Amino acid sequence: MAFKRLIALVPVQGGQVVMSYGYMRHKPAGSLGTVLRNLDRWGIDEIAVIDISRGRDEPDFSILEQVRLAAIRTPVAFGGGIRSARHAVAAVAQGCDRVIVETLIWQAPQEIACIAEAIGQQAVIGAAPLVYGTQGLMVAPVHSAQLETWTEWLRRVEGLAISELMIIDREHEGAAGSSKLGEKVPVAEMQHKLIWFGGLNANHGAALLQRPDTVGVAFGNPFLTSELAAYTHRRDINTLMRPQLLRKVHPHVEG
Amino acid sequence: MLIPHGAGNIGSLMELFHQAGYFPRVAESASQIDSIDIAVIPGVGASGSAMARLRETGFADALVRMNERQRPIIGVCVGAQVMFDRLHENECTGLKLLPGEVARIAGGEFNNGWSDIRLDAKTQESGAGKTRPLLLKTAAKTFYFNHGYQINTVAPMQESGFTCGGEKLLAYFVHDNLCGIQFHPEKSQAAGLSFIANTMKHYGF
Repeated sequence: MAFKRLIALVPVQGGQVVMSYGYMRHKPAGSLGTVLRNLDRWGIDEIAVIDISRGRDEPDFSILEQVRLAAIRTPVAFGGGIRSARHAVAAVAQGCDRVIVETLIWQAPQEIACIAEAIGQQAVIGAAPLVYGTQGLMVAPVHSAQLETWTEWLRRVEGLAISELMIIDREHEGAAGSSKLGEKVPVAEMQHKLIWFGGLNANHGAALLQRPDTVGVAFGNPFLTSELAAYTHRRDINTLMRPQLLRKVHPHVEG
Repeated sequence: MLIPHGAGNIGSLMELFHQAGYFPRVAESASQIDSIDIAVIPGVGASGSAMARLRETGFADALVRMNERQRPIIGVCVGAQVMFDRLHENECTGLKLLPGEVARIAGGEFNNGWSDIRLDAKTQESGAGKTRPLLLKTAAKTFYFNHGYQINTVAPMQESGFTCGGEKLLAYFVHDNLCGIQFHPEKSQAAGLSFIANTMKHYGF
């Protein structure tokens, strides 16, 4: 099948890109257009733009406008405020290829079928912020204090019209190399393939990409702060894997 | 001219054509399609809603007439799928420009991400002939896919490429005036730009 994917996760708050630490602290990291154009030039496989501004019941259309104006040739997934098929169609019209839903899984899962009917199930990603504590592996949604066990949550998403799940290490996000979720989430014959984000480094990336249930790993802050970080992560991960599961990319080279 | 079908990433496709040196317009009425030289049906969408919208606007009939005039039609992803007879995504009929059906990828899998494309054996043989296959004119052979349905056809394509290691998933085809591209050239970075530029040249633009 396809190569596995090295994904850049770009958190946006109040219309500006931020570096994020444990979902709690944020530092400005520049304009979305500049960040998108950089990642495009560096040959990242996919970009996930996630609006983390709270309390939205619709996408921030000014962010989508920035995606369109960036005019990049790298696939973009957009999350934040997607509540209906109309929102998803608007995101696609502005240059996004996929949408990421999280709150909708809890609040209106039936709407996900409508989104898939409009833009295709292949274009829908579900997100699961996870924590690991005394109660074990729990899904901890951003919009509420509600907690659900991983097993219960998997039953919740079973049959939903999504193509992939993004697992977010909520506690270790922003602290590269600190995530242990890869050891806690059992490899399973799941309906949906997995993308991992939060607290990863190249070693984590290589280990996770070798799981049969995994299609991608996402990095946030390192890709926002360091030029060519995407290239060095790809090189380091590929060095650790035989066979190489990520496509080869030569940044700045047209072909 | 780009043919809207409700969903569709027209903006990205428009940008790709601009970067390739072409300046397409977006169709506003079916009558416009009767006088154009080349049409592009964009990707991203579900085939049922795309077909419903194409019929509702009259674009479907206009595309059939355009095909009868042998004018080039390029379909991207769902835009390529709707060219065929039967679409299983929402159990509906397509434009019937080519024989074949579009069915769920085996095992309910999705082909999401970047994949290499290889020419089918017949195209490889003809590659030595006077018409060089589009893929061989493109330096990079890795493109971005995002689909859960695949084209199954027995139509004898003049040129076709497959992805996923063997001849499993049709990645693109050229058959007279019809070109179907299952991957997303607009999101395949330099390789996609090169491929679409070569496709336009192939049709004399």
